[in-house]
Amino acid sequence: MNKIVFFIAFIGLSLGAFAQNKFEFSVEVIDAKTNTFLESAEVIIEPCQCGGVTNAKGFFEIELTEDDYKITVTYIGYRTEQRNIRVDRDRFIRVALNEETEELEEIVLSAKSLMESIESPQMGALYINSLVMKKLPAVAGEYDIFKSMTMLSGITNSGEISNGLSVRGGTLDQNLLLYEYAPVFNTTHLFGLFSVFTPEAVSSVNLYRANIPSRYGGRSTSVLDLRVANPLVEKPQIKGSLGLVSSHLSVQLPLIENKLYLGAHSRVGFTDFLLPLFSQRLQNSKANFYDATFKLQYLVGANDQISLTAFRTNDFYQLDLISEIDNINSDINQYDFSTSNYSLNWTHSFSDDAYLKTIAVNSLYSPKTIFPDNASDNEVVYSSSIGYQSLHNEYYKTVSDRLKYYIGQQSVFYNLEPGTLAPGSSLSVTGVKLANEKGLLVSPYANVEFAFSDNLRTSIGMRFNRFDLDADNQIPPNANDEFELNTTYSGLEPRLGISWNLADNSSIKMSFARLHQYLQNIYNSTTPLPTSRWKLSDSYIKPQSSNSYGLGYYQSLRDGEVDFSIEGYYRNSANNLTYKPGADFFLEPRIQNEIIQADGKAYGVELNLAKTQGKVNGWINYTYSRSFLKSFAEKLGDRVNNNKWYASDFDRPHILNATLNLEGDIYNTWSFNATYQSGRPYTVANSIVDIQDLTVPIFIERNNSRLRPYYRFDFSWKVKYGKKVNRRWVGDWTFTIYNITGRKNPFNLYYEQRQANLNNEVFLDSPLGSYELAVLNSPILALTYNFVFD
Amino acid sequence: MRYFFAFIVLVFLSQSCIEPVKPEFQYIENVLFVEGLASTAQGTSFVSIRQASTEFGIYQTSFVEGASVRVENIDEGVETPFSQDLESYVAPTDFIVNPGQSYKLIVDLPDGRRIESNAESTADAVEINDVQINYESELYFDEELERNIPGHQMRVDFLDPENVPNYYYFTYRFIEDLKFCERCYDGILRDGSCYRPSGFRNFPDYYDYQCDTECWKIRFPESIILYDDQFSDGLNIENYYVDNLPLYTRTDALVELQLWTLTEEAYRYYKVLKDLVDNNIGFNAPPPAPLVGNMRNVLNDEEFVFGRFSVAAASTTAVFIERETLTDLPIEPILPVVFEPTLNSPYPPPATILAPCNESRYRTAIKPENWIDNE
Repeated sequence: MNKIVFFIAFIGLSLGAFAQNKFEFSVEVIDAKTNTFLESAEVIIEPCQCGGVTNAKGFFEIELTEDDYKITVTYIGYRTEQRNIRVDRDRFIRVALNEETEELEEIVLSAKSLMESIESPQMGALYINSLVMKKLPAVAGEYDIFKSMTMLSGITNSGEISNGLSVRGGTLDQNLLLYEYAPVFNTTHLFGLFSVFTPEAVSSVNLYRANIPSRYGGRSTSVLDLRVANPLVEKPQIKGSLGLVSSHLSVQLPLIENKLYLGAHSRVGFTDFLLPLFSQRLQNSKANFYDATFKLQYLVGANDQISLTAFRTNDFYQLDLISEIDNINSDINQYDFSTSNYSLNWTHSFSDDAYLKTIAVNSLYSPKTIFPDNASDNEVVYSSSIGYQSLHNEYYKTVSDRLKYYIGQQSVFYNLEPGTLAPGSSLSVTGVKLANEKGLLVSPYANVEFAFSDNLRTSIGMRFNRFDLDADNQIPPNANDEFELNTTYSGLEPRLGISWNLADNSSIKMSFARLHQYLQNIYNSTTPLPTSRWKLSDSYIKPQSSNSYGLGYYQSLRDGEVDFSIEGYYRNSANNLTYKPGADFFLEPRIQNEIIQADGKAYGVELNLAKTQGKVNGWINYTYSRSFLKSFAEKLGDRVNNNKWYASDFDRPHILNATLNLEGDIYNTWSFNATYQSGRPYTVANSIVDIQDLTVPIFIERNNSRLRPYYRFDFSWKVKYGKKVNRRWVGDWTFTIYNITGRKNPFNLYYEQRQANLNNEVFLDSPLGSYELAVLNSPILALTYNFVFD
Repeated sequence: MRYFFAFIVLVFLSQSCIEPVKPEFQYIENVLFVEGLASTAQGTSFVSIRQASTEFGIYQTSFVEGASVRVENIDEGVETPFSQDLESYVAPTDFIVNPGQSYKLIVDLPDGRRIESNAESTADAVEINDVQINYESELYFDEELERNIPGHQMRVDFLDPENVPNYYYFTYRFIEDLKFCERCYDGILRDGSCYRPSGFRNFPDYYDYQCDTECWKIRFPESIILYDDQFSDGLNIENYYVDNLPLYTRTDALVELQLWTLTEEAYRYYKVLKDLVDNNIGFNAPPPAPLVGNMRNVLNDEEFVFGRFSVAAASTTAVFIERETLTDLPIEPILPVVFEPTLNSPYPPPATILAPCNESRYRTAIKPENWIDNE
């Protein structure tokens, strides 16, 4: 590719490298047991962000400037090795990798990466790799990214069933979720029980919630960035599993030696037949899903890599515990929703310390609600979609050990189809189509990381947003108002991080970030349905925005074996969405009339303690956090809590999480999770009255009480009963108990009409009955048998 | 080639996910609730005024007596006073509202507050063309009883008027023949009340008392049934599901179905009501909302007045259901009839085997118009 293009695109941006000495650095990667060369092992070199893969001789060579480097060598099926090397002359190292199946240490959870690095000015960042996730005890044996993330500080959800994550008291849609650079708008299967990401495909998860790097934007609280594993393998590899909840198949293979690699990962779940076995109430329920991730990686030459990632997920379900949509003559509501994402990533290295990344993304989320006709085979179909195309360019340069910067731009084109009702051959339904919404968000950004001294490091970023809404037919609140077709918003988003090293093993950090959000999920329930409506900001629904402030202290003890941190934050926000009483968004053309935009504030303190090494390792964290909203409606009936501050749905004052791993002997490993959270706020009645022969609770305040606390204990026990010595087959068992105590953690609580003589001993003389809905009502046991054959 | 293969065995210990808990309230004093209906059908217009208070430590909403209540026909400038009758204010027997005309409710409370509604315009009534009643042995799963319930499903056909938004509210009276008007548990019936006479220890579980006249039991919907023609303007709505009619007993029954046509504002109010009582269960339940309608304190805009004055045009139809040949187990347990002994009765006289019908909103001794005697 013509380098002139890069210089035209980013002319003047490169400051040029200072002249430095350069040396040859080479690595030989071998199998520790057999001493054979490992071809296609991945060599990652930091801080130059360079590297490559080994050749057939297990050899990799690169020219580096004089500096200290961290060398990471990874190979599928082998334990990752790291070395710290000073390159001040030509250097050669040999790295012997151990197979994971032979490794006792494979069961040790590396919690170190969950903590902040002491020196980095990046604050509020959490990182968790797939190995850690796989070790955590999981519901029904399905290891899951979201469930794992909720074991980290400041991250909660709506309960056992939650269609997303809440970060530091934000709503689910205020967290931007990227999967290999593409946004995912519906993140879960089975109405929130499992996240949609193909388990074997995910290599790492980064969460940013304080001074979010300026390369990210578009949501007002946080960013969750998931990456797909690079399929750099020497020979074909197949992994699979077969289970009652889902089955997996994962294939990685080289298509062209040293050039083109393919990773294909899929998961399917057909649980329809199981549901009636659990309960009579599920006899009309259906639920099945699949997800698949494909990644093609092409090594063009020494300086260019291209990867193409495709992600497809689909769910179909019909569940009695979901309220049906009104005004369509059908007894059944079926939900069918899919995501189709494509990411094209081209990275060109100009040198060891400068590269240009270009990412093109096409994303389509298309949910449907199907209403089978009562009297015929016809189906009435409600459909909507979110189209998302983006082009993202970023130039990254390490000028020196003290100065790094990146500069780039992201252009995002949104095309929303808010809703279409297709009647098919129905004679009792008319077709409806809401006007499309199209928006363009252009965001140039830059970030400089500079160390004023060995002790003081800063990260200063700026992102500028210009958002243009081109609404085909932006309908005003009242029929007589004039139409406003185009709306433009712009805003600066400064990002600041400062790190002050108090000693080699401790630091203080401060952060600030401003964010804007131009796309929001509109729903009026505890957790959104996958078919719930999304809306671009327009003349009537203003963009959400937030200012986040952070302050933290970080301490590393026992030569890095133990990490401690305490982090405080405060966030004020504007234009948060809340809803008028009785709001109904289904195919509502004047949706602004159903919405109230409210101010918000959230604050909290997070304490983390992690032991990252040794036979006993794990982490514990405690979070004190609050989250409030306040409306400004003039009309009495539209006010929420009479315009006073009230606890948001994600207000959780106390959260305690702990994970403990015990490496007993070569055959046994035990892991424990414990989590405690204050109950979710909910609303209790302020009065009662009889209307239409029904006893009706009257509500004046919102979220004036709290559900019982949520707590859960999980356990897993891995038993290895054979060693892979001169045998082609080795197996192990993993036994998992999720929710050991069988606690029925409440998901919701509601009032019901009293029925004669029913539950009198509980309801006593109350005019209404009350019931608590729990998602899990018992321990969930999973026994997994794995074996490896080669 | 390297293979990895796993299979998972799951054991779910399934139990109920919904459990009764002690209801929690945060009562607020002096909440005022005004609910009114003016209809095109004679004898159906009423106004209910209730105020919350705590008396002797018990929170309750009490009927407000002594209010001056009237409905004003705004088009004609005529006010119709409503008179107090038991715990509501009712219109004169010949009072009806007329389609196309607007009305408002005016209430002067004994404490001097004046409560008024916004004006409501009366829509045209829409006729019910047909009612289908179909029996199913497994009609729905009852969360409280934890079993499938048998019963009938009621569906209707009606023609939605074209080019005008219509908002519908279905209600009905479900009438069953009542043979036994009283059952006394652990006691006997004297002077219209069950009581346990002193000196008796070993009562049977209950005594049954036959109705002394013909008598019918009346049930009402346990849910709010609404329909909005936003997706069906001008179309023939066929086979529209109205409600389930659970098999409480296996006696014959009569359904008197009413279709009200409401204003958009009234529909939205009843939609909030529906969310509070019907849609509050499940994973996507909307959060509870204040049930604020169109009532306001004229002198104090900051006072919440809950409830609503609605004007409705009504159409009615009736369907008789024969159920005595059904074999599924009804919801109300079938217990053997136990009469109080009349000969050598050990209980205080007079020995009693009959009970009055005790007419109320839920019972009538007047044979319903479309009732069919099968005996």
